[in-house]
Amino acid sequence: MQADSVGGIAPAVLVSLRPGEKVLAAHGLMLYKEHQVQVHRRTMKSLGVSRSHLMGMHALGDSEESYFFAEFEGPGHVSFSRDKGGEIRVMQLAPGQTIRLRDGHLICFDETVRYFPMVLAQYPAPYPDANGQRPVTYLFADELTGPGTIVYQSYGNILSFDLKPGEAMRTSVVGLLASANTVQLRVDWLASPTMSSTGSVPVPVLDLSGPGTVLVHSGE
Amino acid sequence: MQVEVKGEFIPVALATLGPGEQIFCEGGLMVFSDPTIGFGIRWMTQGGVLGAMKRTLVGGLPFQLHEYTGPGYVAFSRFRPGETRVVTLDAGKGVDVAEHSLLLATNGIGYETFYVAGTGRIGRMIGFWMDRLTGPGTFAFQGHGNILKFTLAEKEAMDIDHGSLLMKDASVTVRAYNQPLGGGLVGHALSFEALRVEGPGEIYLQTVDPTKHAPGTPG
Repeated sequence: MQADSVGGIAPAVLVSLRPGEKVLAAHGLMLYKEHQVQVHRRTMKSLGVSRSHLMGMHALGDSEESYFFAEFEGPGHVSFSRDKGGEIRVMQLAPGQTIRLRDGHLICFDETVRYFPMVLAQYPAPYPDANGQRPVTYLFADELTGPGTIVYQSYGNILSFDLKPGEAMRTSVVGLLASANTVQLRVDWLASPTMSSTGSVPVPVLDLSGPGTVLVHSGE
Repeated sequence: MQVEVKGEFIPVALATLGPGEQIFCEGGLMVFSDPTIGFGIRWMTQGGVLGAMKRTLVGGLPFQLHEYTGPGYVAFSRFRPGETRVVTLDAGKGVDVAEHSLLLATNGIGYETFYVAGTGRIGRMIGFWMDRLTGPGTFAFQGHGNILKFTLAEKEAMDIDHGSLLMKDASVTVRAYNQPLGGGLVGHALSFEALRVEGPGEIYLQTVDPTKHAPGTPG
């Protein structure tokens, strides 16, 4: 498929499909389509994602993963928008290349791309709540493996980093947009949780180490 | 009269009026003006009292429009991120602008509103209102996000998201329909509401669905 970003304030992506070519997108993102473009339903099961896995994801928290995608079949044009500002990027994944994109940012992808929703990281609250519990926050991601084209959108602008083997960087929890599966990720705290009585508020951050690509976005 | 667009992210339409020249708009859109600008009210009488009640109580449209009279300058904004365009209409030429998108129009332009019915299914889509503008004159409108323009040939059709329709030629027809998501009962149960527009004429789409975001939020 051919995908191009159009507009700058709240951009949309314009996808051109050849006869029989298909693109998958989350339900509700279509901006417009040519009349002859067919719309089908593509279940997660048909993509190799079991229902029990999805139910497990939903049970963990605010996972946005749906049980199906909308599938658009060419020939013709179809356009998608996430109804917000931010950069749209079109990425070509080589065979076997994998990227983990934070959930809520994927717009569409080739049917040749393997899709798998996952938990990217998790961390407990630094302090117990009123019930003495430390609720766990889960960071969800869409794992996408080539070959094929994927399109995603950030909050704000996108900054790209190519980490060498062993090279490290740190991002805020919301700042990380995507990372290659070769990048190691670990949740760290900028202050010790044991310092709560002194008024210090620990801040969770993500420590990443290469090799691989890391994408950071400037909005929230 | 001259209309310029100032700014990019949340632009204003700046009108410079000669003596006696007049423009109108919905209330609450004026950002700044020359103190010499005169102000008045135009009552919406289309459809009589019942028509006005329907527009206002059901559609959320105003009872009245605001009129500004030159000489001087006056600027209008929808106070949200989005492109603004200025269009000049020939005499008799008609266009339809989505509700709450018109910024200003010169006094020679005919103004009416009409309702585009929804599919009637349970959900958000009960229909929406459009402003019918008839030339001659100049008007400005603002979209949510970016504006995409298409020209449809005779009988050429396009399927669009409900909230994306910003403006169209009066010759372009629009109707709501349910787009099934695949076959069978499940496909119909998961169907989503869309609009089918059919040419001939031009249509303008906006990249942000206004029903999904509160005014002023870029997303």
